[in-house]
Amino acid sequence: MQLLALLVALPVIAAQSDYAESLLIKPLPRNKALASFLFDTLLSLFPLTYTNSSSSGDHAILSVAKHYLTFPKSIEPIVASTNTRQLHLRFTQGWWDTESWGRLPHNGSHTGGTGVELSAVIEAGSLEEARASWLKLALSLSGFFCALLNFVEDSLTTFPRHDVSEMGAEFVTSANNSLFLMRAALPEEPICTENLTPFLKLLPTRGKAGLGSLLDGHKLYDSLWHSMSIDLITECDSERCSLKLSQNIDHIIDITRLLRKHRLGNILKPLSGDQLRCDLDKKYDDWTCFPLTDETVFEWDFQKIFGRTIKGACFQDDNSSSLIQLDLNNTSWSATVEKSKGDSVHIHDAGLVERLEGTYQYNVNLRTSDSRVVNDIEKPPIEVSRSLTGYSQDKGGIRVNLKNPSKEESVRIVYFETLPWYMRAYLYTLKKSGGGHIEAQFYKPAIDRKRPGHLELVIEIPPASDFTFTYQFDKSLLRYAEYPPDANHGFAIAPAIVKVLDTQDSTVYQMRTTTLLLTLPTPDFSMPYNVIILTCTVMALAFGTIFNLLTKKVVTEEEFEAISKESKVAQIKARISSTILALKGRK
Amino acid sequence: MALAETVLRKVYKLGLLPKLFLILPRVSFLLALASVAWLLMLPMDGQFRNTYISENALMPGQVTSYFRESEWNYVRGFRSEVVNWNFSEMSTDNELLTNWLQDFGWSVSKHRDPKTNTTTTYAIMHAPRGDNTEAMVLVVPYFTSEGMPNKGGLTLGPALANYFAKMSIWSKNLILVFPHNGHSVLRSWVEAYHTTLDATAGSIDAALVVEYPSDSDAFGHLEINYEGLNGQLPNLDLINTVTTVASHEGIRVSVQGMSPDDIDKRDYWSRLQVFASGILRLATAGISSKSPGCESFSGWQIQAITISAAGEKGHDVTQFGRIIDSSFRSVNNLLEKFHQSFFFYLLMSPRHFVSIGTYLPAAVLVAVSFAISSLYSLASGVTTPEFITHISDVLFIFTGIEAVCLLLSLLMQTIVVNATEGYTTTITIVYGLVISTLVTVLSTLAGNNIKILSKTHSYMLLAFALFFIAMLIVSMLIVHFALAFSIGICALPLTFIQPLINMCNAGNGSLIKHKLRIAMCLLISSPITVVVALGYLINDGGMFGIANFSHGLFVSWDAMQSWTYFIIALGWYPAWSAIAVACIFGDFRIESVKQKAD
Repeated sequence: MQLLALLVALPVIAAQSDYAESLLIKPLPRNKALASFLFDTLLSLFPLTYTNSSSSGDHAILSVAKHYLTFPKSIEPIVASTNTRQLHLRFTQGWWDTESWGRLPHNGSHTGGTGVELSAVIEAGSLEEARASWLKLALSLSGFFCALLNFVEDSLTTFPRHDVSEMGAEFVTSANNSLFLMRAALPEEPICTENLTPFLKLLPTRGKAGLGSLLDGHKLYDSLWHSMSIDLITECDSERCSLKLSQNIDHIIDITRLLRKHRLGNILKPLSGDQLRCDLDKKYDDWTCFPLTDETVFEWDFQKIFGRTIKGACFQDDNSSSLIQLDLNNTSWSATVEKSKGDSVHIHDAGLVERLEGTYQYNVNLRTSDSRVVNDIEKPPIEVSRSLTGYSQDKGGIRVNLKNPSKEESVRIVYFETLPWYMRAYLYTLKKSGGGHIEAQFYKPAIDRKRPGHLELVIEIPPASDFTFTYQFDKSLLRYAEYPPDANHGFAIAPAIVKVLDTQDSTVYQMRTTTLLLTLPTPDFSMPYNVIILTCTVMALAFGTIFNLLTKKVVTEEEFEAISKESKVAQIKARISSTILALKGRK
Repeated sequence: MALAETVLRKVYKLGLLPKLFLILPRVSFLLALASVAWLLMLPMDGQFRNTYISENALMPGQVTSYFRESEWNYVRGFRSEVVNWNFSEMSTDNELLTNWLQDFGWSVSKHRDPKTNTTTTYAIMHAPRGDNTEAMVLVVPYFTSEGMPNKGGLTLGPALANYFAKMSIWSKNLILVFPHNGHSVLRSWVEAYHTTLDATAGSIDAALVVEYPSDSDAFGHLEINYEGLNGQLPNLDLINTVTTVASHEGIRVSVQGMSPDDIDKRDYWSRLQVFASGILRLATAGISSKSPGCESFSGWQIQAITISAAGEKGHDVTQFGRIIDSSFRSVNNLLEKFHQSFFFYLLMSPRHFVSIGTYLPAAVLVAVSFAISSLYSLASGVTTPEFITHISDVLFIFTGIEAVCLLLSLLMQTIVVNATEGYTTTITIVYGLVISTLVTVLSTLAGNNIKILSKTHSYMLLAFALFFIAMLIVSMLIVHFALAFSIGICALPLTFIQPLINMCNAGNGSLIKHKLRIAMCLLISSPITVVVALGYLINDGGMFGIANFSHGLFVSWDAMQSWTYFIIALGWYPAWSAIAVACIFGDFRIESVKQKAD
């Protein structure tokens, strides 16, 4: 609990200086661990401006002098030119194992669904203007983060309803303008090192010093689950505003696998007989071994897990801070910090929070006498599973199951789902079962190629009960150019978002369901050619017949036979037959 | 056009039409013969093709599988526990297995099926960093299709689970299912997965059902079963993948329960045997209770095959595990769904096949043969004006017969499905059906006096029934070739009835002989005779086989959603009944017409 309190206090520390960074390491059951990086940067106090898209915008940006200091200079113009007041970008991959990892880090507020998620609050005079800014923002970020954010378009964009009520602060430059919250998700987008590089470039240290120096694409993406987020928030007092950039990377490390990799290399070769961990209570001899679970007594350090050590504090000044926090269970875990510079090595026991200083190389070593003993895993307030039902090519269904694991408290949630326009959901088929009820329901149907379907449900679930709802949808036929070039996995349906509300209707926890894979009826694309060929044949036949009728004379059969006797072929036939007769006669 | 005109004129001039009409029965029979000959020709050299991997992404056998050496110790370790299990008790609730799987990091769930009154345990391993949208399934039934405890399978299941969990290469989720059997229990799990289960892992791409009944380290060869329900087959690429992986391991592969020695003869007869057995098994898929399990996945766009270890010695159990490992890793490579290669094919051996374009003409020929017979019956006793005025009556009669069949079939099915003593009820019903068939057949011999149907009606009913069979074959042609062709061949004697009647009318030979022949034709071509005979002959049947097979047929829709029962009860049986009705109550005498005309 002490640690939690510290975590909460962190933003306060961050607010005091322009830059702060921290890393949390928390061992999880079954030899897994959570590593959570947080980098906060502040662009302090500047007057808010409104860039009119019709006038030459760049002028306005340049006219205001700003001292960027640690704040990345590259991102601010993008935000300013699109009048973005809030920007949330999420890159997530993998499946969060609620059962053994518990709650999402930061209560899910920094975690997106599989793929890329973008949402922004944009100030604009009208909806059209907001849309234009939104698309411009997506295009700029697409290049910036090497992600296919340029695929964000009107047919993917929704205007979440519930979050609008949470938006709060009114920092618009003129009374005529209002704020628009827009959101889009690209569930098919794979996340890889090329997304990490621009992320690191946003840091003032460029990943060369401080905690950022631990981030290596090879190790980060060899995790079980990883999430990378960028949040840019405008905070204003009466006149002037500041921009807060908070960058976050969370990932789940499989320690056993990384240690094995470190020891034995990448290939999963079988162990030699004497290295097997066998259950001696069961049958055991030279040939037989009942495997035990993974090792529980071992030690690991940052060098092995991250492939690097930390290159000192982020900056040499005192204003910014680099912190490492270790959430260890003291009964079975201990940690030491190894501080080295050149030949001199200094080792000391790690406290709950370690502050990095100077230009030392830092390596943290963790030892466990029983890795199964870890600090309590907090249960999430809600468990959700969503799956596709049905098997036909033209229709299907979605089934969502929500569980309230708490035995005492009921839980109120907002279920938010965006359906692509080619899924025509029918809300009248919505069937509910189990405890709980739908308090409010909002549905905005899709418009083909223009707008996605948008479903928001407020659901209350009593303690220790299950709530299941299903609904049916039709699958549309696409235009031929809208199909992916080759046969494919299917079309990804973006994860649904579940937000747990408190009594004031503000979000206390949020999570995403998994992506779904929808197979659409795909026509046989060779069919048009068959149709062309058949049509041409029929036309040729019809033409031939009519042409015959038009050009030929109609005669009776007798006339025809009389004429045919005089035809050249008939004459040749007659000549041949007479020759044959003559030859026979000669014999 | 001109050419056609000339030909038509010649045909008319030479008076070919009446001559053609006379040889129609022969043409029809020749077409049926040609259809069988067509299929007999396919196993000849040069008529079939070698299988090949069509989807390059699969790259089967390209990885070194490390399920070997000390993994073998683990396999033995698991086996030393598994052999002590009481399989029939454990299959419903296996706490041990659940704990093992949870220890390896798999999340275990249970599916309770009220219909079969069983609980199926299944475990999911979510792919690290995966997008969690696709899955591969490994099914280890507690009891194999032969009813043996699947000891080796249940050893390999947890051993592979332990091994798979160590790897980070998976791009698709893995699901391990432990049903009581591969038949209705697995089917209900598959259905629940797509309708009601909470713990799911995305759409299933491929499934392997594993049978390794022996508890020894060694096995001889690999047997692949692949037939699905309702004529569906797994993508040929999946079979090719497993075959290729097995051959990289040096393991011989057999299909259709043949011994690999027979298959390795690579001669006409071995290929014909595999081919014919393939058609028969495909036609009866879902009916036999000894189904291999892969058919439970049919209808959900899942490619599934069953691999079983057969034989005594030659290879070791980890090699079997390596086949599973390597095949899964091939499927794991797929960037698309299985869409290349063939979905409609018949195998000649594990490495030889014919594709649909090559074997389809056989069924077309049978269908044409029925259509021509139908035309012959029409031309024998019906004129065009009669046809037009009576067609609605005939349709009405036939619809009546169809309605009775529908009612009876639903009734029989409901009775058997809900009966507490399914087999006894089945035997009673089969007795009833056999007796009714015999009575029907005998009454064609006796009943000459009751002529309820008029001459035109009789001819037209017979013609329509034959036409109905032709249409039945055509409509099932592509979807379920094996059943269409089998029905066509079994019902072929029905086409001889009209020529026999015409011979009676012409007064050639003795009347009673012809009548006997007609009765024989009816008896042979009855679906009930065929079902009874099949039950008696296949799967070391005997009398028990008949009960088993008929019971399987009755419950196949309820348990497996196989259409075969309804195709027989609403397609073949009404057509047969219509012809039987025409023979018993019909009036085919041409003389009477002539006398009247005189």
